[in-house]
Amino acid sequence: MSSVILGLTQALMNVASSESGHVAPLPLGYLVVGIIWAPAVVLFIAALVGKPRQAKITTVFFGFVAIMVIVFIGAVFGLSALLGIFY
Amino acid sequence: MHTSREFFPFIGLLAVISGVAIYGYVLQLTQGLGVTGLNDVTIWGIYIVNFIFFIGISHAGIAISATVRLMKLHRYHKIARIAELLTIVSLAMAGLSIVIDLGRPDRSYLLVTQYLKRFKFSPLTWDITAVGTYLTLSATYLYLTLRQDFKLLSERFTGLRGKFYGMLIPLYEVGEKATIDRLSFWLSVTILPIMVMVHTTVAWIFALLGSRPLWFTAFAGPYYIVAAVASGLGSVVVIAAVMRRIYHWEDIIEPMVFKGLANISMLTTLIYIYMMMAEQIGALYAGPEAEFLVSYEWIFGSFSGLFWGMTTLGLILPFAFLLWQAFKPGYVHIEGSAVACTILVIAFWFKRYMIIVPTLSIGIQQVGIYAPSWVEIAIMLGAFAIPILMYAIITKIVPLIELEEEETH
Repeated sequence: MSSVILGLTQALMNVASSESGHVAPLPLGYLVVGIIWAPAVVLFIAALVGKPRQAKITTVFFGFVAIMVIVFIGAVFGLSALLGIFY
Repeated sequence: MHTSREFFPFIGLLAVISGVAIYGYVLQLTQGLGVTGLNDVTIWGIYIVNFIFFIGISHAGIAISATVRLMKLHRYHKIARIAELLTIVSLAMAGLSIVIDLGRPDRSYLLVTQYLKRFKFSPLTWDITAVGTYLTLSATYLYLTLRQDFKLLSERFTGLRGKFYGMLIPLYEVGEKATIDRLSFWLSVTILPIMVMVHTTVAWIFALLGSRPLWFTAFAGPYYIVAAVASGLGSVVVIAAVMRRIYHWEDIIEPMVFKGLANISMLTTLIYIYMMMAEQIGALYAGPEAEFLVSYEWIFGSFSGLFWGMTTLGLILPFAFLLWQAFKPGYVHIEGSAVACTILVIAFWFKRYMIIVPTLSIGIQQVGIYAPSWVEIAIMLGAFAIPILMYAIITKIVPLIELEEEETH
């Protein structure tokens, strides 16, 4: 009985391994992250070269974006450390 | 920023609910996910429902603000900030909902340290990217548009309060408004496509799982976005109506603002009902066996009470009221619109429950029974109390209506 099951499994594996996979040439992540960040890149260029432009306000803008990124990443690490107390 | 006597008991009630939720979460941390109703089959429950729900609500804020700015819809400008704050608070809660759902939340940092390895293939990583970018740019947008008001407040108040507002506007320059307007315009242009991507990536967390019936569908992105717009705008109607009454802003927020928002919420609800019908007909009459089983349970089986209650009382009834109102020229019932939108928002929470739970509990093994435990329910109530608490406190610091607008009335 077990040899029959083994034979059937072997046959199925042979069929499965002969199937060609559906692998898209570009991982979807590149596309998705590209679409998400492309508008942000446009924004940063517009902030740097658009008019009217004041150096102080451009600094405030990029400074605030940087602070938010740091806060976001810091919150992830901070929360991990805080909740790590329970383990 | 007037504070009524009722404010403090209200804050106290929210704090108590939040406290019970924190106690429940500590129990979950110390005893594990065994204290929840989750099991080996139904691995996601109301925490993930909350996550999708809060992401949906977050769409309203900056969407309104950006659209108002780009299309010059000045009438809606007065509720823009109410909506922007809603976006920030609900995005924060969406992120926390994910952490709450984790069995080992202390390993959350792996999302950052493993990012470069994972982003090529992991929808969860795309979601973190989209939500993080959206939150960063939304907060930047809100801050830049607040600077002018912080300047006015720093001059209006003396002492510590004045100094506090002064600290919030580093590098302030007279005449910076023109530059800020330009940056806000570009932020609006940028945020709208990112907002679409946020809910599309949320949808892909589910829709790229080929083995899960009713999740694996090409129109998951649009389906989720429509629900987000309907529930998000509905939430803004509710909050704006409450704020209008509390702060006596009858002269500032025109009744027609409510009608406009309610109309869009009504139309998107109609589109959503249509999409839901298309989905269910496909699954019930031509779907593979697993899809048929889940769809059957939705419509005729163990989830039918929830499904029909949600559809008729939660979606169709408020839709009918808002449609009737839409066809009466010049007429708007603000309280009625707020009640209808509240029902819509609650219905969309249950709709998210219908997306998650039946597919997991019936979809593959047909053995998973899920009922949320008291710990989950307490944490869920806290997940609603905490953002309301945050919102209520922020309204005491940040002017909800631009001061220029307020002073002209």
